[in-house]
Amino acid sequence: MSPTSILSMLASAILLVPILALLALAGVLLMGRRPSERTVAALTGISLTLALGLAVASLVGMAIHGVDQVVVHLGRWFRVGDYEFDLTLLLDRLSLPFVLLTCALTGLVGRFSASYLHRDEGFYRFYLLLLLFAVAMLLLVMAGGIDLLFAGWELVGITSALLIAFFNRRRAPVLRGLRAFAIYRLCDVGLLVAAVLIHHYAHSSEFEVAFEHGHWPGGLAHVPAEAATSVALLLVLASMGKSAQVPFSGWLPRAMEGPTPSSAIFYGGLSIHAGAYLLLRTSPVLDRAPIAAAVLVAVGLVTAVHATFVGRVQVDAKNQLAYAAMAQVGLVLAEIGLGLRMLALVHITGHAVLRTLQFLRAPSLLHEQHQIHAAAGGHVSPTGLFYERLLPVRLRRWLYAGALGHGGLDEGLERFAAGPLIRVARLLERLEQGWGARFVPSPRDDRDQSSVATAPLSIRSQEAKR
Amino acid sequence: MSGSNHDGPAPATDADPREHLRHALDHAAHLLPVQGPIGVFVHHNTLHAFEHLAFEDAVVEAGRLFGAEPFMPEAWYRDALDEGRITLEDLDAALAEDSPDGASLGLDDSLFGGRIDRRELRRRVLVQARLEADDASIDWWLEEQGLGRRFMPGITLPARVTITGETTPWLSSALRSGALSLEALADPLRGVPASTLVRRWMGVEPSPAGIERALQQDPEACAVACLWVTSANRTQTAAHTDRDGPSDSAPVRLRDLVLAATGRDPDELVDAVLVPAISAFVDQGVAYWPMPDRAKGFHAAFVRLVREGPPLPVPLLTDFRRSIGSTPAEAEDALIESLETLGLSPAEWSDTLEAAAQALPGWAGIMRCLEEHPELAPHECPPCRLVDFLAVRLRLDTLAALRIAREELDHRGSAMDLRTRLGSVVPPKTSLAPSAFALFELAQMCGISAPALRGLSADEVQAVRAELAAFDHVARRRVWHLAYERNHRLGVLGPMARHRQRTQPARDRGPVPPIQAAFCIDEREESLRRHLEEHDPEVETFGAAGFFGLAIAFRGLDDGHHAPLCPVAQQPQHEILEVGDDDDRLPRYTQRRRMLAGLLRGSFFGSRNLLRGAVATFGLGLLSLVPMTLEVLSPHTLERLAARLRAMFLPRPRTRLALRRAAEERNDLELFPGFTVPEMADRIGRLLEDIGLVRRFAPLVAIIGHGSSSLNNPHESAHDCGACGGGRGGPNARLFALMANEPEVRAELRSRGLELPDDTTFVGGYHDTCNDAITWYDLERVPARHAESLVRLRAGFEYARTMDAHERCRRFESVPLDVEPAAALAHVQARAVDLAQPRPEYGHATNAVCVFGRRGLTRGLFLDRRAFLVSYDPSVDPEGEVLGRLLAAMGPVGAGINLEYYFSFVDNERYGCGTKLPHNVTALVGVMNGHGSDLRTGLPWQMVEIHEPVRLLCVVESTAELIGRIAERHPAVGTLVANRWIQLALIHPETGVMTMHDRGSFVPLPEPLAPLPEVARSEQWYRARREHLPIAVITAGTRTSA
Repeated sequence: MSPTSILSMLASAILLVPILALLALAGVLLMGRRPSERTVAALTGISLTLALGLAVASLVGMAIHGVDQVVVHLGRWFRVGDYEFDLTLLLDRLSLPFVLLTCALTGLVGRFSASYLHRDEGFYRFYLLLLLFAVAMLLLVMAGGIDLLFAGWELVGITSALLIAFFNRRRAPVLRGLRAFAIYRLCDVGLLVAAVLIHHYAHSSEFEVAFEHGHWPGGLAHVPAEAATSVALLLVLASMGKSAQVPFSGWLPRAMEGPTPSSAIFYGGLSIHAGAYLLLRTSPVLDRAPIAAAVLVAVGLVTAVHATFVGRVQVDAKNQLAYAAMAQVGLVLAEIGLGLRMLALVHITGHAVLRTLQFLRAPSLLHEQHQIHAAAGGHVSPTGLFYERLLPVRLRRWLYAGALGHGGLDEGLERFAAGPLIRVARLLERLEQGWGARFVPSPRDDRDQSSVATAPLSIRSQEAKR
Repeated sequence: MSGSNHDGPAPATDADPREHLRHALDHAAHLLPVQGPIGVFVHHNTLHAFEHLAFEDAVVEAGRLFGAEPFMPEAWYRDALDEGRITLEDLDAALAEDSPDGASLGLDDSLFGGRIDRRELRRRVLVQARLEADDASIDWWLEEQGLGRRFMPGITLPARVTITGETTPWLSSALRSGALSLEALADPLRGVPASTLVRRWMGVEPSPAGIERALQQDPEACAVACLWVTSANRTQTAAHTDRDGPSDSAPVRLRDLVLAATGRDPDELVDAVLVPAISAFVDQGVAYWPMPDRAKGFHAAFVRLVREGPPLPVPLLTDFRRSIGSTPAEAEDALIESLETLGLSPAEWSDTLEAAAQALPGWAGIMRCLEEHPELAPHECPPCRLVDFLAVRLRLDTLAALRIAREELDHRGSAMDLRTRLGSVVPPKTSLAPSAFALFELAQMCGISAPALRGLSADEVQAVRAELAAFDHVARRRVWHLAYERNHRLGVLGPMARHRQRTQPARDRGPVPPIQAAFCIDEREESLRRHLEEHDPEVETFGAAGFFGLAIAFRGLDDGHHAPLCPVAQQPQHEILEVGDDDDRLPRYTQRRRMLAGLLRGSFFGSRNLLRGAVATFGLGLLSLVPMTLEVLSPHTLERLAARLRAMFLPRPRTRLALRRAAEERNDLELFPGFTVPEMADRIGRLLEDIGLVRRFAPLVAIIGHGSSSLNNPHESAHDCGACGGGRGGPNARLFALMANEPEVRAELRSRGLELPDDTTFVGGYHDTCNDAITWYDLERVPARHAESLVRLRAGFEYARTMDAHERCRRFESVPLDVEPAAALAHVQARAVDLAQPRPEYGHATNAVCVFGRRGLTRGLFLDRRAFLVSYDPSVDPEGEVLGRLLAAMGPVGAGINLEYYFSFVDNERYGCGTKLPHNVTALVGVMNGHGSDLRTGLPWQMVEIHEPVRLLCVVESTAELIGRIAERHPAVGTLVANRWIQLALIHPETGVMTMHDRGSFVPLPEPLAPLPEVARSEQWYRARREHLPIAVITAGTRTSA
């Protein structure tokens, strides 16, 4: 067998192993069986360790044979007219680090959760979602075309929302999961339209075709310059949702409702960086769209500053970490916008690992503070007096109040974006009912029907206590 | 800790509104949780504010106020009945205790026209009735489960025969004679017409002929269907007459009215604004930016932030900002204005404030707690006042309610108008189906057929309905709970009484033991003591409150500040410092520690801000993969590695305690530095007297304090020593040994008549109940002549701690049952340093018993780590002085621990803090759920999940007469006993006869006592079993000399 075919097999196996584990677990649970907690944790651990081993083997193999990228054509799912959905996997300098991170971090978190979630009623659900997430993330970073990437992207989104709403007997987690889901969907429009446009201009969704000439970080996008800006802006929009950038950032701190290990893996480690990955992957488009790149830099920097300010007034472990992560991801996006791709990649890798560890240790806040105070030999003087002194008191207070209110971003979105949208929808609904009544005989319990029709629109984002 | 204990609202006659407000606030405050900042976790009775009521009434009253459960669910108790944890005998005894005969209450005891008596009915209801049902379940049972046409499971054959036998001829003749029309077979409550019902349930066409056929084919279906129809009809008729029953009083809060009217919860708007603000206000240095203007109090700081902050598009804040101009600046005035805006008369203030405080009881509670005890704040205490919090809360409440009313109901008027408008809405009618179903079920149980039920007089039906109302689910669960506790009580008292019959607890005979060891009374030390005695039967052990009578403010070499090590009821007056003992490594140690802290702070915490974070992620990012992998895969390895590194780079210098009084005056912390010789002698003498160790001193006496260390556990301190106020008792044990070894102290004691032989040496030690490590202090000071005893002591403890770990592991589901002792020890060591472990130890879970008496009473008994053991020798305390002291100090502490576990177990969401998994440490004062919620107080589910909710059973070696006198001298203890917050049993010191307290008198145990199982070693009894174990005799543990 040629090295290329061995590498292709390795690459497909990386994805296949967690998929098999997921199917096995889902199958057993669907049959109504309850395997022991130990078995489930072992299945997850073994499959992800195996995937990690395969990824390392691929890395070594590629290094030895000097292969820059491995493209695996698994086949064609379907074809409609000009459009074809190919199942292609891509392993290159960009996707390999993400694959390694995904396998290592999910594996570790899987192990961690075996004791953390021990005896929790949602134990099996958690592992099912964790495996689904691992598969989704691998699909996202190994996709050889933007269509397959979109599939992974959506699966990551749904697992994220379901894990935020993990404690579904309380109201707040469910509302907050729903909020994250809504923001994801809104921004996914960007990815979907961008995918269609890329296919339209490049006549293919495959990265190797659409961005030919050279491997990542090189490549040339087959998108005309006049369209590149809009495509790139759509991609930026898509990444802003998943990577929690201003003004869509409000869901991230709220996502801390899930169990600690899922917060760690999603919002410290992987999911939060998915937007950055998307932009890195499609960077040839960004190269042709300087305006979009400038917008990206601006979004990243504004987010970084916003998150820094808001993070400084947070008084709890998890919100602090959420804003810290948001700030670093903002910087990463700015780096991408500036064309510092390699730097961004290194930044992501380091950040993902460090932040995951910090999230896992979040309940140790008391312990760590105590140690610091003790070693310093007494009460450590309060922080924040350093830059602060430079500002006039009134401005300080103004900034503080703004930061404590999270900059009012969420309420702003609700009032100026969601509100008008809902009003328009309500108006259309009324109009439709008005006209509809003339042509269609009204069903018996009209009122029930109308309330069903408005339900998705009237879902509000207020959150319950606890 | 809550200072005020007002029961009723203050008199409404106060002229001064501010004075009146103060009373109302005190009233609102006394129901708030009294838990302080979580770093020092003190167990206390969750319902401390209700201790003036009898336990059974208090839980119900509090349950009503807080929306919490008073007891476990009925199904849980029924499972206990199935498992044999409750027997029918227990249930009968509990019924007899709970429901005295109707005759004594002036009630007619026979029901259903004399077919059954009240107690028998109650017994049947307990064991088999479903009763609690909603309309949907009733529909499901009747229609889908066939309960409309079949007898319920468990209905006896005679009852079935009677019902069917009476119904068939009656129905047949009544239809034929026209006494009963077919339409009468309709179900009036669920609106099912007779034709449908007959077709569905009797399976025939709705005609007299069809029913005749059905009566022959399926008489059971006809009998049951008729019974349901009759039950429904009689319930409907009877309900007309009791329409004026007690209705629930109208809700106090405007929020409740708005929520009911619109489905939108104003609290959601309020909490989104209030929770970040209040947590930022009480923050203890977590945030990089402290809240500005904190020194002026929460109300002033909040108002100023809103007024001078940016105009955020938050509707509620906009409303608040608009209202600022017309609001008084002082919190008290603002609150009064809010109350008046709502149109409330001063008499209604206290209830309104109480309800407002209960909207976020955790945050309101911490404000109140820090208002009364600012010294509890770990670092800096802003001026916390409940009135500030409530002033903001009430204004936001009103504004949010008005906003929602404006948006949803188009209400443009004032808050007062809104209250009037919504308050007059008639509550929806409650369904009668559940009540009818209960009657239907009872009738089946008692063999009452449809004609018999029709034949009852209205009064008779009313009597049954009244009985059903009186024996509602709360009353039933109360009986269940009494039965549950009785079973446990007899399971403890019987074996103890029997054991006492066979042994003599006096310790005056026999040779002087080679080693004596005093432990904390903590029930987790019971197993350590037992294993020590099994290993070395000549050893004697004692139990004393784990601060060993030394109330100190301690600052160790590694501590940032002083920590009080004594029960919370005491205020330490003496400072004890751990200082370097002429060790030249000390300066380097301090310096390196400081460097390390700086590094940790700069990198790990610094990575949370923007630029340093970027640097840190590049620098530390991938590197942190190594510790993370180790931490997750093998925490124990990482810990050992860290320990080795510490030993290399940060060797801990030799230290000593500065125990001698250094100056006459108090220092700037208002503490006396150290103790004088008489002060030391006072404390040593008193403790030894308390535990009855006044003669026959062993050459080596060990004093063992305890505490617990675990990682990633905000509730870590809840596992520490309760007698040290949630601190670690090592320094107390060390200090006690040092003091007792001082020759001058011995001389002073001798002059007071306590002869401590010169040959006796005390040695201090520390037991970590989480990883079962034993640390010894100042061993180099033990004289050489004790070297052999010291080896023996340490060997004994090595064995005991290994077996302690082994015994603990049986409770951990993640440890296989066949684990070997050495592996078990390694397991608990790893567990203590495992970041992923939400149950590093089970703490006080399963605690149930407290014994005040000589060790001889319990020595050689397997008490399953469930008993506090307080050493007390009645033979040297004829007047009960010592016992009174012990009961007064430890009764409330033990009850506090026990009751906190009780309530956190019974209603973990309301009284406890729910599962640990989403917990988020906030402001260093407590935990929230996730992003933002109320501050959760109480214990997490992972700590209490194996607990058995029973009230503490105190077994005291004393006489009824002496106890009576003590109860008078110490009313706090007397109240706990009289109101049944603890159970009390006595063992007579001389005769050994056991009696139980029962409403003011002492009654003997039911005879005969069951025989006691006997095994050689504890391990044989607990091995391979996870459940709670009955008491057994461990023969290896009984003293060989006696």
